[in-house]
Amino acid sequence: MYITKKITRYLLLISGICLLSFSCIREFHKPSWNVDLLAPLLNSSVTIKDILKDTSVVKTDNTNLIMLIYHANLAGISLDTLLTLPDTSNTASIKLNSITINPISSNYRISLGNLANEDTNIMTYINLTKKIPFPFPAYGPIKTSNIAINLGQYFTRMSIMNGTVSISINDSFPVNFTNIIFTLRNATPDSALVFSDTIPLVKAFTTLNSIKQMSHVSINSNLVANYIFSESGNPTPMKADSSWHIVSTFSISNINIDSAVAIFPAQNVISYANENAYNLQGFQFTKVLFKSGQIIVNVYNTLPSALSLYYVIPNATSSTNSTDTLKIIQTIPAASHITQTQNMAGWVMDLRGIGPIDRKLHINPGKADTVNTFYSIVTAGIAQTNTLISLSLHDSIYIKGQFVNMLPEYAEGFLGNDSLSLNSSFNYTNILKNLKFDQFSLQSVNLFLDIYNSIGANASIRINKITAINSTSNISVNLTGSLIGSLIPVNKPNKPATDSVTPAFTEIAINSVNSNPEKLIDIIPDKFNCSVQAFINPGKKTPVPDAGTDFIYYGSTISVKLGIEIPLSLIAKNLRLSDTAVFSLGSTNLTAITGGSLKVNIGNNFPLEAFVQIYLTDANNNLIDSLFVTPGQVLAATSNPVTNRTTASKQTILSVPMTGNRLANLTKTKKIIIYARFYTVSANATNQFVKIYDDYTIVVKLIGDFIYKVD
Amino acid sequence: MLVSRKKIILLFVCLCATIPVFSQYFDYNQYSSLLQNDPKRSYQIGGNTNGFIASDALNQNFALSLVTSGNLSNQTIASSRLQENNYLSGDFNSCFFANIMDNNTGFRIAASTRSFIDAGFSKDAYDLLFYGNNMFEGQTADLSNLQLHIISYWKLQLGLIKRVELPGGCFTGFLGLSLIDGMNNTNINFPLLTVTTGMGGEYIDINSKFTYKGSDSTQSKISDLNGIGAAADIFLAYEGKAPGITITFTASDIGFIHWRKHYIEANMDTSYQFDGLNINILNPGQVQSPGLSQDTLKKILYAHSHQTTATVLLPGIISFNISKRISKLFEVGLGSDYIIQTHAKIPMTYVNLKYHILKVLTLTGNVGYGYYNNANVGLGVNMNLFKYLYLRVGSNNLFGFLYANNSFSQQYYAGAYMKF
Repeated sequence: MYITKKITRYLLLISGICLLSFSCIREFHKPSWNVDLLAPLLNSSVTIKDILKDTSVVKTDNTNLIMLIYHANLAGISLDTLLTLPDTSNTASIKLNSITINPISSNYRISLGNLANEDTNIMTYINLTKKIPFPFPAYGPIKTSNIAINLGQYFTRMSIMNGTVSISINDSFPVNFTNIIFTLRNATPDSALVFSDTIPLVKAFTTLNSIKQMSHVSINSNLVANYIFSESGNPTPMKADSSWHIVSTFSISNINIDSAVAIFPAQNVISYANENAYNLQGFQFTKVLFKSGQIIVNVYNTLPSALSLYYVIPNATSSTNSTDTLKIIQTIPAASHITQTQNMAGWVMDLRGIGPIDRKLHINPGKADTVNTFYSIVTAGIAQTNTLISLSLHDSIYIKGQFVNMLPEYAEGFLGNDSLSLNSSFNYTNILKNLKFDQFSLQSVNLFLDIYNSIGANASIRINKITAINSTSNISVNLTGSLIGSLIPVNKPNKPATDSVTPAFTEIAINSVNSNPEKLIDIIPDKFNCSVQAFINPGKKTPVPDAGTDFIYYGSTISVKLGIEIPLSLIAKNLRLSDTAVFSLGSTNLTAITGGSLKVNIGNNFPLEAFVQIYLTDANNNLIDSLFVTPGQVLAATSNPVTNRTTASKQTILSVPMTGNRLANLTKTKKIIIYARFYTVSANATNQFVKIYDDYTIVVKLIGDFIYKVD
Repeated sequence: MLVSRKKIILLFVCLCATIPVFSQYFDYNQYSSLLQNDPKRSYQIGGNTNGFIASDALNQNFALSLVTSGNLSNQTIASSRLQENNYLSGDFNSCFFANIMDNNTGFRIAASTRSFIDAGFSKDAYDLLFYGNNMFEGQTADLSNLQLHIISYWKLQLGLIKRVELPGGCFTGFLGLSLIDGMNNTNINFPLLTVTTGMGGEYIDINSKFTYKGSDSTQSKISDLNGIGAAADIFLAYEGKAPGITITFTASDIGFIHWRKHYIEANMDTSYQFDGLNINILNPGQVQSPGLSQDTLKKILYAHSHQTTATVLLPGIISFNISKRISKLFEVGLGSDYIIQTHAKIPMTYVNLKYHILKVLTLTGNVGYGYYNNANVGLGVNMNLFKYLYLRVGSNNLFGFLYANNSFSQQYYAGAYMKF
């Protein structure tokens, strides 16, 4: 097949043109058209709390009237510095109050032969009876030779205050012994009589015991004893028997000595108890739980024997275990001293003295209680001495007990009568400070003092001075009226079951009746100076011990707050407010808007007329545009002339034309400045106060009535 | 100067490559080239593109403005003929094929793409979209029964052609089986949709129930294979020698697509009131665009949807035509076309007259009525150049150009093939 070159070129040309020029036809044009849009864009509901911004200062009364409330802590009165118990030390030189020694004894045997040596008649009898029985002859008195007694292994010397002497005579003769005289003397040199006793009769073949008391004697370890006795004979013929004998035993027991050089058995040598009182300058404490503190006990042992010390305060128990009593147990070596420290944190001490102890032990239950006093017992003992030592009731130990840094965590009793002064000043942010206006009046202002008392005692407050200061204008006004200088009672908190006190609340109103608070607020102060005095148990007499009902925890205070309450009932003329807000359209594209307007639909429920202008600025606050040609007037809500409350919102529609220029300006805007002038509008008289209630709102809706290009 | 056959083929391929750009101009009878085959031995290579758009409300001026000028004027928008319920359908096809015939048997291989749209909307929906909601201040625009069905796919066909000589004529039959690669399927139905604009524009209320089924349009490349399907095409023709009647029947795209991945289904019954972004007017900060952005809508949709699979029937096309040569120069015909899955109540039925001016040039005029009560008058040109090059182009509704404001449908076609 053949085809002309010309036609070929023509076809190629057509193909090329088609490819090039019609390739775009495949790609449809994106259609676009304009629509008339009516759409909500933004909505906002503004209450007075949004305008005031700081909602912490806003509250409402029972009619929902807005009240601006400011609080400031004036001061907190604390008794902590007075609570610290003064450091106390008690010393005692405690003498030994009992020394005992083990019983001592000795015995002596007189046989027939001994008697024969003393009396020839008895010898004759013995000889006679070798052959035939013979009646035992009577004889006497017979005096024995000195019987030496050496008790040197027990003592060398002792002064006995009292003791018990026991003599036991066992007669194994067939005859009665009569008029037995026993004498005990110290061996030479002094040969002093220690003891003597006469026993009238000991019958044959019997044992007789004689117990007598001895007192105030000094005995040596070497003693001499003698017996003088007679016998009554026996008419019955009998042969002499060499087994016949008489045994005499004497012993000294229950020996309380005044002094001795001896081997002493283990025994308590000291038992001492006494009451210790704090001088607490007006406080009467019956019970204290200690937060901190120490008992330091120094004991000096002058005895030649180690001493076991037992120091106990029965009034002091552990807060976690009431059966655990505070005690210090320590062994003090002979002739030395120790220092023992006891941490008092967490210990509870009953400061009513010995009374509770007696009642607990059923001893003297009628004893009266006291205050600020605790009872302590010191007991000291020695162990069995293995060598001869000297002890005397004139010996003593020295104890020093110190109570230092004793700080109560909690105390009960009577907190005395104290007064403390508070002088303070505080600054506060007054939202009214930056107001500009032609006329601005508040109908009333209330000041009040809120007193929170967590100290468990009756108290009173006296306001000496309250001064309001405007530091900008340097104007100050003092509070006057019947409150200044008056004593105002403060409630006492209830005693808690646990360790957490709910403070008692007392509010003192400072209002137009008893003072001049409006004068203070009128100067729009930003600072207050106050002088307040607090009294504990004012006018209350010191009660009898243990009758106080006060209590206090460490850290408890009486705190005083000054409150300012401003009901938002006002008259305002040309009250000017402005606010700047950051503004950004972000990624919102305004190019599709080709015309129309932005409608600002305002529903105003406030009794305030406003003239609003909104400025558009760049980041450096340079003015770009204003939304309204003249400030838009926002009508005030309709008010009920009887209740003076608004009944219905007033609707205002402000229109902002959306020209190309304005849309471009909106895109450049970085900040908006809202500038508003307010006028209060009451239902009745022109100059009537209007109240602002919590439920008043301004509802703002931005509605776009645009010509919008759909693409 | 002589030019080789290779260059001719190259030229022709280039020419065929331009055919898709004429995709506005379509002809449904894509198998008419089968009747031009030399039953002994012939080769055909070519392309077709065709389509239609019809509506009972939107005129051709509107449609043309949408796709050409880009900007819809108020006049164009107001020219639509709206009723309570309105419909729009469109179908666009492009095909590249090759037929081989040898001794009454042949094969056809073709690749084509198709995009189909069918939509229903209320008058309020049209007004809301094109005029805005200001006219509905204080009222409720009822957009219920808003529907949209879009499907597009690629099709690779392999078919068998058989020509049988019969006494008095011949019968040509074609059966093509196609592998379908779905690109996009979107099916949105709002049985309930109302938009209320508050007085002064203080709020907009939307109340809706809707179902959505669709594929992920961001993953619609051929290689994605989100939807795979099959379809069958049948072409039957009887050419009688006497009295010179030709009867054709075509059923194409009878099949389905099984969407196997990236297919979601959502059902929602929701009400939404918008009264503006709530801000603190005293501290507005950064103001973001209010309302429902595309991203917001997508998020809402995906929040109520779940992944699923679905088998969707293709919008098959049924065509019937009978023509008779009444003289050496003239041929009259009667036909009917219908696309399944449109809202059209009646098929497009037409009569046409072919004037064989020259052996190589035929003019076709047709008058038709159907679909959305559309009356069409069309004209087409068939050319046979250099014995082996066949061109066809035409429109079944010239009024769509001349009287665009009063014409509500358009059918275009173009095709070219070479026969060896």
